[in-house]
Amino acid sequence: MVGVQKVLELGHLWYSGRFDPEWQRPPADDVVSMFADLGLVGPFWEI
Amino acid sequence: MTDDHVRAEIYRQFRDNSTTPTAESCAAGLGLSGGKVEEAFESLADSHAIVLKPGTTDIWMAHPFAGEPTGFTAANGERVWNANCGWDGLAILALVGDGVVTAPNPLGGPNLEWTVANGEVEPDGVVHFLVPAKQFWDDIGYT
Repeated sequence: MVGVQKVLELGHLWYSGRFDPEWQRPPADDVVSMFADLGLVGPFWEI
Repeated sequence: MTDDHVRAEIYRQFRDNSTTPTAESCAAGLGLSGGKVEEAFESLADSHAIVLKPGTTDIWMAHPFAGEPTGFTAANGERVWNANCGWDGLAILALVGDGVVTAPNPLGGPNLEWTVANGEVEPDGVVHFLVPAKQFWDDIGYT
């Protein structure tokens, strides 16, 4: 379960680059760091 | 012109038109042939940048946007998008601005609604992530 405010923030971080042709999917470590910055840690959020 | 330009055009059309882009609409937007864009759609699907309806080049999902009704919507002014889930409904508003997310009520009864105003979500609530991050793409339709 993730609070809706945090889900909104996650949505921005996860998707906002996709309008840019230069955007590339970040490496797994960066994704895990992004999750951690939002407090999303633990086995569920490992890539 | 690369597949990434086609991916960006898909996202731009979803955002700006609140309709599902097609190979034809993307070809027109980019000045490419429909065949070239269909090839790009298939390549983008192979790399999990988008999801196509099985056996077609019709867009099923370009997360957070859904290509067809799902019961989850995000509205910003007069524009309404289909979302793949509650997370994606909020994510659409994170991309386009304030609005209202509507989601089916898992307990039955009226739909659930969240309003985003000045980046703040009301009322408080939670989204249930069903699948661990590592397994998001194992069955993306379920995720």
